[in-house]
Amino acid sequence: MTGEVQVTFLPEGLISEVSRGTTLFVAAHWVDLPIDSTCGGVGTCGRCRVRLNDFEFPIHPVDQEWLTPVELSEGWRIACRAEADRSLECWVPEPMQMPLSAIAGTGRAVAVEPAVKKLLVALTVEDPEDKSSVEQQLRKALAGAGLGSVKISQHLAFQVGDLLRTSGPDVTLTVCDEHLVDVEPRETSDRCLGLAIDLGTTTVVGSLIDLAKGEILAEKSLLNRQSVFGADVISRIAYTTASDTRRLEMQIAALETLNQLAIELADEAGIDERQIYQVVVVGNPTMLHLLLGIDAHPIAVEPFVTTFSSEQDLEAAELKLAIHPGARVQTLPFIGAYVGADTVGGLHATDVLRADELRLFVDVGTNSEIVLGSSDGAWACSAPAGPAFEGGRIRNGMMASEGAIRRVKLGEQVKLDVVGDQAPRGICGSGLIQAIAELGRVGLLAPSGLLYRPEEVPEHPLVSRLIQIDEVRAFQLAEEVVLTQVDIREVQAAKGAISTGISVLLETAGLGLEDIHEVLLAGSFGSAIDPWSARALGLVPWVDLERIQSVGNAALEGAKMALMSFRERQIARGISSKVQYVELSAMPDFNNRYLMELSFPLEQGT
Amino acid sequence: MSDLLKSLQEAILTIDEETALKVTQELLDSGMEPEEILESGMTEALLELGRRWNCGEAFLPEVVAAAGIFERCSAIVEPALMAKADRKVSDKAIIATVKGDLHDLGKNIVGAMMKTVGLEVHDLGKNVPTEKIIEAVKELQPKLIGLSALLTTTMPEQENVIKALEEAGLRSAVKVMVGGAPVTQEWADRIGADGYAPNAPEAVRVALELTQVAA
Repeated sequence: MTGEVQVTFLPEGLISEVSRGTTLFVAAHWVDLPIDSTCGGVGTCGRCRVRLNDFEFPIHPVDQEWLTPVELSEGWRIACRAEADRSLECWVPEPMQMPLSAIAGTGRAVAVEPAVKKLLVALTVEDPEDKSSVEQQLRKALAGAGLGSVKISQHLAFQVGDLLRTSGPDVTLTVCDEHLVDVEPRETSDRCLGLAIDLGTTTVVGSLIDLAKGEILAEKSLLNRQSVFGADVISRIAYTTASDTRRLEMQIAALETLNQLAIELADEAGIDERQIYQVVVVGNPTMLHLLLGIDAHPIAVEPFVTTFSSEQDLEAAELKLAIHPGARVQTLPFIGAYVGADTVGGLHATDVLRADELRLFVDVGTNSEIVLGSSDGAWACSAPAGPAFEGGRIRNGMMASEGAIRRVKLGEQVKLDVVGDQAPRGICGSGLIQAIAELGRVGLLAPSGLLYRPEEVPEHPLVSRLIQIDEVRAFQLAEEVVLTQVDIREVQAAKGAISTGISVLLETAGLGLEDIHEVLLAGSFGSAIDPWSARALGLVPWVDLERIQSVGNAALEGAKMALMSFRERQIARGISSKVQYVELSAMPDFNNRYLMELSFPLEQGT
Repeated sequence: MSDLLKSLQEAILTIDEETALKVTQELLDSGMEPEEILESGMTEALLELGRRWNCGEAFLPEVVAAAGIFERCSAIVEPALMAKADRKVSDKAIIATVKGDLHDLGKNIVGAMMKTVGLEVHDLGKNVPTEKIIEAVKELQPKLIGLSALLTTTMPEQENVIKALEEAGLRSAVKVMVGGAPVTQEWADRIGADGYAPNAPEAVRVALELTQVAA
């Protein structure tokens, strides 16, 4: 890829390939090399020193703060400020201490090194001789802890004076990245919480984490309150385009959802939600635009671009989130207009970009995100699959709630697994996909997607289930639930979009099916589909079944990792620049490719 | 209906292009009027295709392939039609996918099918700015405009085109029909369109109706 440079870390000889301008500190994360640091790479602790083979390497003002002229002339630099503008070698001292670790992502150990830190300091407020201002006192205490350049949050500036007059000399300072977010009387370092959120178009999932221990305290999901304004991202955008008031209305709906989530999670964990100091939110580009109140219209019309694409970092008070007012609310960057921070989180959690083997990451949903990649490079696209997988435009379609058929097995009889163990009321996405795959397996459906007529399969044990409703062919799944020919066409249209995406990415990368080491099915829906059905319908390419893995809500896992470790967050932030975005709708032969991908591979027999 | 006309319809519906083209030629050679081949043969097949589409029996690959066959069969009939002294001048139609939208599969199918019922179709393409549509209307003076939009965010462009036609004083000279997955009859009524169709064969029927009213 253009603009890539190589950083070689000695003594191990680890080579990190990063885009030009990446700091040495971040480059080290890419190869899992822990460089010592307490500030998290924001240039305030001076501990991430490395020695370059290039003595002429530019000197940053921060270098001069922490390093002597002799050290500078020997090639020592502060790694989090040194941007690799060329390929180079550097020597890394052993870190002082190994951090705690937690398991996150797809079972990977994550060193617990949150961006949020609490420091117990003694102020000299009560010294009558000391005439320095409260701000100067704070600055002195911060400098003493190696955090001389942190910014004091706006909300603190106005109230901290009172607090300090009544608190006594011992206070706990809470710092998140380069922001001082809280000053509390006495020692409170046991209370330090973070919130990871996957802000989905339909469902919002949150995970409340004890950042001191790297422990998950509670996890919960809620429906996105924006749903009343439309089911999919395009209709949400269309709603907000009409006026600024509507954009605000949409933003408030998202914030209310997050507030409810934070409060419910805090209740469950028995803590106060105002102890949450950091939030990492992932979501598709539209969701994050709408959350931050930013114009999302350009996403929905040609040439389909986002208003912003980098990670954002705001104070909770600005968003009126019901957590600590000084808390930092941070997002991950986007890869393209329809491949967002949720995909970045998912790729991070599954380590797709750091593994040598080629993997295909598919998050199946209304907009399905597809990424093909390895440490050699990655390509991403979004396939507009439509609402079929969420039960939309399906005659008896429904969400995976009580009464939804979620599993279907056909044989001499029809066997159903229904959510909540009650009479079937409808069918959800995973049931829909398995039903179609099963119809193909038992010979009631052709690869073209057409259901056979009873007279074509007179001897079939399930022939009586083949019915007609107002001229439309259908299969009777249960007394109240049918699967119609029109439903199957909806699924086919969705499948065609995903298959086209996969084939375009393979072609763009110059790779073939045989090169795919593993297929990862991500997302709450993606991981609910059984791999056999997904393959029979062509939602994933035809690879050995054991090579198809469900990875669950990888987006949330990625957000959790970014929250638990500032190093992980920096790696995640680097992902978007490593992935090449492919815009399917702009492909000149898209229509023909799409038409070629509409049939089901199907697999007959047992 | 003659057996040959029936086998033409059957050939189109089963995507048997070779037979369809052969039978069309045979019908012409047998002395059947070109208008009758178009109206009785192909229009019937078109309506049947619409029915099959609605109940899910026919799907996109079949409809696209059928539209191609329609087009090539009409091309066989066309010279005979042109050679007739008393032939009626074809009505012109402009079709386009509106600005901001790159979806053109449906619009292309509608275009191909419109040609088979004797309309002179000018396809302006996809992501077409309103000004370009207005220019084309001034230049070609069509009887009909077909506007396709596949996104709820680009649907308002259909309304913008209608407004622009009004401002240019062209609205009464032309019929406007709208379509696309999110478009409904209600939307068509709201923005003051003259016609709407939920699928391609139906669009052709509506197009004929509108151009005949306009005649």
